[in-house]
Amino acid sequence: MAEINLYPAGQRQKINWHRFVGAFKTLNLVVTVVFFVTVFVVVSFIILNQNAINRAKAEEESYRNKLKALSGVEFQYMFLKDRAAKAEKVLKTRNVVKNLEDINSIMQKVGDVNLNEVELEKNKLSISASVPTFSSLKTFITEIKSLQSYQKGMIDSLSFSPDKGYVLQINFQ
Amino acid sequence: MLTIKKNDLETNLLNLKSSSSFIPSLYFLMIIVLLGIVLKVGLSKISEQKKTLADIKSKQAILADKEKTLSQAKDNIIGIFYNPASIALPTENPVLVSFSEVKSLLDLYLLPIDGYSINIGGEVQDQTVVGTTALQVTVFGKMDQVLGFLKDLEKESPLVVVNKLNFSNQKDLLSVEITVNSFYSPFVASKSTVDLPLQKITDSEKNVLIELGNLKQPNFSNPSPNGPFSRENPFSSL
Repeated sequence: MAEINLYPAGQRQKINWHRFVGAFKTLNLVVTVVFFVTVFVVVSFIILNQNAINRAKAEEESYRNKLKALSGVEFQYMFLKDRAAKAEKVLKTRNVVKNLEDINSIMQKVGDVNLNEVELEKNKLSISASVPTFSSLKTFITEIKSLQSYQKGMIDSLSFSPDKGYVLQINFQ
Repeated sequence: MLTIKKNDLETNLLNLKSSSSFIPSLYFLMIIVLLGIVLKVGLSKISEQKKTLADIKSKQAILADKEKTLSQAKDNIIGIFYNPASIALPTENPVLVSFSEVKSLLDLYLLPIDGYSINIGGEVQDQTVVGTTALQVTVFGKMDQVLGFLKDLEKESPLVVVNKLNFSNQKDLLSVEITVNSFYSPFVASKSTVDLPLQKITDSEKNVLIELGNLKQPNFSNPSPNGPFSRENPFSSL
């Protein structure tokens, strides 16, 4: 159906302007709605977050109170951790008795070794021993070479006398 | 008769046009500016709140974890290992207890003492340092006795480490100079650590605590009191 424009011909453009103003008002309405919705959403978020913060703070405070009540336990726990860490270091330095056990088992294996002097430390072993026969000497040296605790061993002296047999001085480091 | 001139009509229409476009435009601008302000302020507030919440949550997680660990440790680890660990590695110099144990064990293994010396070391105040005392004992005996003694000595609490052995063969017996170290370390807990995460006891440390727990605790005997005795009434015969 054709649109009838009752305005005089000279004023017809101004009618378009009038329509534009009408559309602009609608846009204003939309923007207003968007503004209020945005305000509502933002304020809601802020309120919800504030509630969450308050709840979290209350929970945090409750944990703090519980931890205050457990402060004695915390001290004991830290003490235990401290002792364990220090004792671990101390226990790692224990190897002298084990090395003595190894030497003793070597002596029992070889049989006729006579220890004249032994100096045993964590990283050092010095043995002065006398062995009556060559086969015992050979077994003794082979066995003592297998000691794991030391990096290098050296026979400092080896002598033979018909009365004592072989007398040797070995140093391990 | 109502006559409207062409110019009057145009002026009226222009006024209508300017008033009908100016107010909505101003309103539109105002709403847009307000929307911008609301978004800027609101979003920054929300982001600040999110950050605060995240901070609180992370603190809360630390506190919750700490509370859980301590509550569990209270009945398990601390109840079992606190006393053995504090005896094995005490805060005070344990040399007298160690010497008493060495002497008891030497008696048990029938090893006579030829001589002894004690070096208590200096005073230790720094809690990161482990103080060491040295106890040197010279004994006579056979290898099996000495070895048995040394093995048992390392099973005793306070913690000791056999540091040095000097053997010399004297006829059938060995003369053994034994140097034993015992250890101590002061402990002062740092203050205001509630917010800091708890440094947990690791598995290897737990094994060490088990080892300390398995050490034989020192025997503290109670000497019988020297009295009171019953006294005669000096006036009874009168």
